[in-house]
Amino acid sequence: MSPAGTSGDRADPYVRSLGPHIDALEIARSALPTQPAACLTILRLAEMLERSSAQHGFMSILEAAKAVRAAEPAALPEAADRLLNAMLAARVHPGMRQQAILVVDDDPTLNRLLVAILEKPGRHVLVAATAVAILEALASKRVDLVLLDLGLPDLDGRLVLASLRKNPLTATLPIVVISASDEEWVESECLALGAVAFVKKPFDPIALGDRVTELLAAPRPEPAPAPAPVPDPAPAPEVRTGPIEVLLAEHDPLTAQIIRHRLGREGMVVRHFASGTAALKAAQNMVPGLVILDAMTPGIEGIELLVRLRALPSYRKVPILVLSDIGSEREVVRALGAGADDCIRKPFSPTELMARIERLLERR
Amino acid sequence: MIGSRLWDFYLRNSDLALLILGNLVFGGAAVGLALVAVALRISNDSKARRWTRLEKLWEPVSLEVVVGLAPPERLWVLVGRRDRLRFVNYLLRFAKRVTGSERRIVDDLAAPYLDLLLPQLAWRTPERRARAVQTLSTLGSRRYVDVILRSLDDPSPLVAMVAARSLARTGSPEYAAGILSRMHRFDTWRSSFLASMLATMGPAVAPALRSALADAGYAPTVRSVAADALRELHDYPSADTAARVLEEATDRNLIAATLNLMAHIGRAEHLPAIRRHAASREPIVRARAIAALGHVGAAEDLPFIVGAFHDESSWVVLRAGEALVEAGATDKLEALARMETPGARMAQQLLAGKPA
Repeated sequence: MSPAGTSGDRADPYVRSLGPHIDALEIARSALPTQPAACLTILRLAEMLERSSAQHGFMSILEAAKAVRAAEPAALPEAADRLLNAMLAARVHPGMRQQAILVVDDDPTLNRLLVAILEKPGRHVLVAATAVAILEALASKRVDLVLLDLGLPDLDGRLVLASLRKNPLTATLPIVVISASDEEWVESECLALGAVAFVKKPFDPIALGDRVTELLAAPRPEPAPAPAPVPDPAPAPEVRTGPIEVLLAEHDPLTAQIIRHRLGREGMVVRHFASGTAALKAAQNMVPGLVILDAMTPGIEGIELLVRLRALPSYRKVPILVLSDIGSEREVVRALGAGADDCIRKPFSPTELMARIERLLERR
Repeated sequence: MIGSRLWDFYLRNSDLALLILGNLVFGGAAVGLALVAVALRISNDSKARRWTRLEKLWEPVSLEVVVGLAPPERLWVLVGRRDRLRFVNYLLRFAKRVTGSERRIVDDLAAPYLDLLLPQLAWRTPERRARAVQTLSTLGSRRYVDVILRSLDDPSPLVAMVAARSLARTGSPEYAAGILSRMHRFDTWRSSFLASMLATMGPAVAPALRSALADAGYAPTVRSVAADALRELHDYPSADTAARVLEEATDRNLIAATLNLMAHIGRAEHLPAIRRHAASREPIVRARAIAALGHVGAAEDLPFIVGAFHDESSWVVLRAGEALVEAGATDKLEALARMETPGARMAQQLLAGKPA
């Protein structure tokens, strides 16, 4: 849960925004016996609070607001009092905001099981069965954690994960992947795409519950605000605006083509060289945004090429990723020791490669 | 008219006529063979050009499909009826290069055509059958597991081995028993290769390997492979099984493999089982027992290890020296290095190479 929802001046912005609504509701409530038209104000306030409390996870306010809207005229004063109390309680105890967990699985039985495991006082569980439903849920409610199954009917869970990570509003949202796949690459791919944990089905309910509690307790950075429109369109002189240029040294033409296509999909321009010698020669006349080296390039071997590139002043800060056929601990350590920023073993998942590249570029 | 003249010529000069006839026959055959060779070459070149054209047609679309930019249908429409098997072979290139979700796309691309490989499993050439098994296991994911399991009983050991390796690569321990029960068919492969193949299935295969090691119904060679695989897996729970095997086994290779396993995972309570082989008649068994004593042995084993330094087998001497280094008894090794025995030079070399 966000530490912003605890107390004092670090209270949840939503709690802080409740002040004017409380004042308005108090005035309307006190006017109700003499001015029947005040009930319209109360109903309008309740409608507004129902929407906003659902988005921010304040279930007690949500339920009280719903009760106000459903109340008969005679019961309205009492319902309005309850809503007022719920709002005041939220201000006094800002930490009472319920945490929301979004469970995404197309199997209704599993969804029911997860709801039973995870629902506790102070926490409620939302359920979605498709990728579209996830986006709808995230747009309308504040969610603190997502449990994501990979086999969704409308979209591969990994694509959902990648797109949530790219969205600034959900970039820091903890996402736990639940999958029945027993292949190792699935786990590594999900973690590389930004999942905080990978849980294999069938899972231990107690261990899962503990893990979720632990993740909810961990501090989470606030999501980045949506980019504001920039009135002055003049670009800063240091910002690179063109596509990222990638220097690729890879001896296998098909692997090079696969990388070129995958990176091209993200708008990157790949300059491919089949030998270390050609790559080094080209490197002296260009400074790319990223270098990908095969450890086994003919001519100058990959690691030696890496050392020579790092010796060039213009390449000291360029991210370099090494592709290795062997992938042994020794070779990985050797590559990292020689200055590689990351190392990936062949055969590789192009999606994982892209995720690693994105992280490298973000870090720089 | 011409016929009667030729007949007259034959009657007059029969030797010359036969010579000319022979030359004509051989010359004709040579020309015929040359024509066949040229025709075959033209046909092969034409096929190669056709494959190159096809691959050039497929490649840009397959790259887009594999990285998720286009749906598989865009590639399938480019595959003609007679090119379907060629297309499956073409996809193998991608299967070797990508993993993850892209690899799943490659499997999906091949899926509609894999059934066409099934008749190849009945072909007479073992290489063809082996190739079909390999392709089905690479691109067919687990859909063809039953077919691959049946191939373990193929008359050709090559096909059976390809099937066994494919099953081992799945990492599923449920196939371990099937592979172990056919292990006797792989006696032309090195035991270390077979053990590595089994060990690639991961720690989950260890219970099946322990059962095989303990089961006297299996051939000693199979039990030895199981012991080697358990050693590669560093399977500590198999130490008790190994000790029991050392009590009852008589096969030299099985005892040696089990002692080797014991050297890695044995504990003090297993020492009696190891010691009983330290004076074996077989040098390989003595060498492995001394090595195991070096790893697991107690102080009371040191005199025995020092004694093994004078063994007639240089392997036993080497293992005894290494065991002394392992046990930290370098003073004893230094004393042996100063003696005028054939093993002294080995002791000097071991001392020179020992870590400081």
